[in-house]
Amino acid sequence: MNRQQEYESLRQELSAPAPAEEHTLMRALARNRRRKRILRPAAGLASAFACFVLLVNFCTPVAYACAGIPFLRELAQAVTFSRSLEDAVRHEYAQPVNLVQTDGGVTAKVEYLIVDQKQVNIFFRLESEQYENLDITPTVRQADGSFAPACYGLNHYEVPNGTLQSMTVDFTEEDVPETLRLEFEVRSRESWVATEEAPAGATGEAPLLSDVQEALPGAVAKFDFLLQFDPAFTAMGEKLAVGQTVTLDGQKITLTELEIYPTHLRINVEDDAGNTAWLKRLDFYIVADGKKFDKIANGITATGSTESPMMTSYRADSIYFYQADRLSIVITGAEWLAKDMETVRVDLSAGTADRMPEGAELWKVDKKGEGYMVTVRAAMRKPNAFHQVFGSSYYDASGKRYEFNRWSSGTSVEGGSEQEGYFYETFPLLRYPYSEVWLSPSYSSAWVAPQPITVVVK
Amino acid sequence: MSAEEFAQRIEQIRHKLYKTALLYIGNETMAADLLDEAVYKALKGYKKLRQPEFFDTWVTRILINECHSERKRRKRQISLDELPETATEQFDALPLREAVRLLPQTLKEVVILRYFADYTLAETARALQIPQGTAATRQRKALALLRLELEEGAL
Repeated sequence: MNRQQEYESLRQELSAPAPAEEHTLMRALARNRRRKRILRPAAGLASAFACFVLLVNFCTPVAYACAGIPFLRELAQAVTFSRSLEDAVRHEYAQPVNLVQTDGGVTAKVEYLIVDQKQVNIFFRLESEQYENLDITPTVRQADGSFAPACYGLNHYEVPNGTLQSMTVDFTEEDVPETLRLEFEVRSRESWVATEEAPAGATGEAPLLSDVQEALPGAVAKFDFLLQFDPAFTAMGEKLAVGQTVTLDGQKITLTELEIYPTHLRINVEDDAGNTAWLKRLDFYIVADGKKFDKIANGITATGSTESPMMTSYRADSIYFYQADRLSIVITGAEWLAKDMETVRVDLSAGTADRMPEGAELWKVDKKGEGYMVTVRAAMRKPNAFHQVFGSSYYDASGKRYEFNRWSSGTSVEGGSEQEGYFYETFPLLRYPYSEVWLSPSYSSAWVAPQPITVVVK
Repeated sequence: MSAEEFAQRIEQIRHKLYKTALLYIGNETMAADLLDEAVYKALKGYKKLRQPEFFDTWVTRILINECHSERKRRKRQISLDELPETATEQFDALPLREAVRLLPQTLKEVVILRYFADYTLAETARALQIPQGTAATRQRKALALLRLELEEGAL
């Protein structure tokens, strides 16, 4: 290849955006926000609750809301996936809104909000005489249409028309703003299935190998709502200092503080520079005046930072509505990623790996076209529960990063049989020309505490 | 410039900035860090920008300054990561990407902005705060070292 050709090739190589640059602006906004934030003094649970009670007595809209027993009953049925939200509804912590729009034969109604300083839960329903089954794709933006620094997702799928359903918008670093713009694109489920049955450019290969993007069917309706939050709700939240260091499986972890919101509780942790592994999962529960609060099982369970693989904040059901005089965190286990195992080398020709996460084995490597299909087998942690063995990033010998964006998990693979207690994870390395690859384990080992470790907060 | 305009402009030039940092520093993680730092500094200062029409070159200058700072930090840790202009045989022997990275700093910046970030000569000169004539001279020298023949219309 001459220099000119090298130049063209290098330009082509650099033309695709890298995953690392994707959230640059969000990180800058979060960093700027931390610089500007004035920490609010921690308010006692009692005073925060008193504030809410005063509002009920003196503020007509909120008083009206709490008097509406039927709405609370229906809302209670829509929050059974979350103990925190169930508690919130039981304590009448909900903001009714009445936003209705009709488009393309579909009526969308945004009816209630459960919102606090860090999270917005939006309750809505879709109705239509024209379409039997509707799917929704939400987008959340700032009121001016710009990017909102939040994660969001639906809490229910394939919901019958007319049923109250919900989505959660979570602000990890930033606070919930005064307003948000909520956009819905609504599709008929029947047209979606028809599209899947006849995708353009189907190769006949396993879907994992196809890099043909399935075309989305057109939206039958679009909606754009401006949500305004009662500041009495978004101001609430409490921080409790913990400041205690524990040794888990030989690694030092400091529990720095608890953040307590009506919708969830966060335990923030830091590690020690001398640790040999990153904390990836913490198994724990909270005990407040003898009552047990579990870690969150649905939705966001933990968050980390971009600075290391460590997960630095863990979520649990909230104790917000319980005035606890005694509070403890009980740790029962953890999962780690060894610092010398952030990547593992796999010989694709020989089908061998230098190391594998605990409980997992490299099952097979198949050459497929210009790339490979890699299958691993791992022990289930609970019956019929799959977990992610490898992250989506992988590297060649020069350190160049690639990503796969599809993978499959199941209890059997093509040509294989089921093995009780195990599952298979398969992912493609599309157009990967080398015989070695460095994969990114999600973890290296798990640890169960011989005895639960109790950290007394108060 | 409004916050929304800032966000839109950053999204438009983000990849160009990343490529610049990557070719300058030669490491993806570090390039992402430099991009983060530059965007953060631009976020803190964009409201004071008197000529928003020069936003792109202004942010690029911030990025180049961050690359310079990183290069100085590395100089303290390892031997200088750069070949002299006279090392023509060594440049010839290197893959192009590595050859660009090892160019003398003043030549490297011009060739990255001109032929990978697709700035015009005028924009490159403004971003680097040098006269256009100087930019043109450095461009010629860099292309000669890299054995590349690229005209204005090569992009």
